[in-house]
Amino acid sequence: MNEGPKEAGDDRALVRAAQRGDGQAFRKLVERYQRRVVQLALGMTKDPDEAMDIAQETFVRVHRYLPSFKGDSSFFTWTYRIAMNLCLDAQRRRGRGERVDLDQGDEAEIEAAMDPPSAALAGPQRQALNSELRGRIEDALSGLSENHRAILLLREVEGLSYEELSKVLGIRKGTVMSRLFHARLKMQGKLREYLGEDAPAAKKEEEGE
Amino acid sequence: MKRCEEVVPLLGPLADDALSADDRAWVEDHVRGCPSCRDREALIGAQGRALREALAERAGKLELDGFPDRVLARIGQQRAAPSRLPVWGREMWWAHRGALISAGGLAAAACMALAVFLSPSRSDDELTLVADNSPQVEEVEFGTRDGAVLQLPQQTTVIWMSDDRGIPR
Repeated sequence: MNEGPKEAGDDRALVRAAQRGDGQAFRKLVERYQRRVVQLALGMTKDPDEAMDIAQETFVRVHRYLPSFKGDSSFFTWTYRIAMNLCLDAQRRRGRGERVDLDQGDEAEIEAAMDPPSAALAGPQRQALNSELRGRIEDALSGLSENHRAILLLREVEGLSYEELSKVLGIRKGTVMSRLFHARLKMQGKLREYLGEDAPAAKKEEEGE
Repeated sequence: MKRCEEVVPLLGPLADDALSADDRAWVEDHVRGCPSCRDREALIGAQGRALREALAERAGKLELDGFPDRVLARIGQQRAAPSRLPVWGREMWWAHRGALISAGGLAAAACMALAVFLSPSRSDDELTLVADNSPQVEEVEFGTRDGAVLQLPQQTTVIWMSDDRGIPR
């Protein structure tokens, strides 16, 4: 996310005020991050109602633990960590969580994914991924393990730096790097499954050139 | 010029602006002369954009008016909810006091044994994040090669350790 100095400073002031019991300051913090937290939960769960519920609970917990927040990390990193833990808990409760797929992929998948990108995924049309691919990308995301889904969402959607990813996910920076590498390969593999070389939209674009 | 298998694991960090200046220079140099790696790099960017757009579109359809009010109402409800713990605790005690005394004794013994064998460690409070800016070296696996990652506070440098198989260019 890489918030600017002004936003970080604003957060600190709002957090301090909220810690002193200023309800308006807490409301401002909620308003500032509600969309991002909902979006993160939506990416993790795919269910809008559940995403809303998790986002609300995130801010309830933020409120509860705010007095103990020391500011060692930025407010949004701390908030994302709470949100991510709630998402993972929710999936585990439903028995949908699959975390074994940590930082390695199977050999064949890695080999395939490291071939030069297919025409459907690269080539001249790569700059404007069509609506078909955009529709498929969420399916591809939900087909990933929760660890891979989490790191992709936090990096690609929320724009967290490797340092921030390390803090939110509680892993070292080297692990961030390799997990992200494998998550991207897996995602690419899933998209290949969905689109393949014969993706109609990709073909149309090719023919149109 | 470096080979693709050395460059591929660094295309993500290149796109994420997470490479040291030296690594960035040689990776960019390779990418300029390698159409396959240019496609791979573009694909990383395209996947990210597609994901952002797809999620922003779906999240944008969700109604967030009144969201802070709902959060504050939930906080209020949780504060107001009477705790059932005292009643529940009394019932449990009278019904199972024998078993609870035994379990308590065992737990105390286990804690004392643990205290003897374990040295004091950092608090694992998941809500307290501790900044760690010390340099670290970590062994990682990138599918095609094994490497070590040297992590400094502001940059990450990869040192290759093995060269097990190639990737077609």
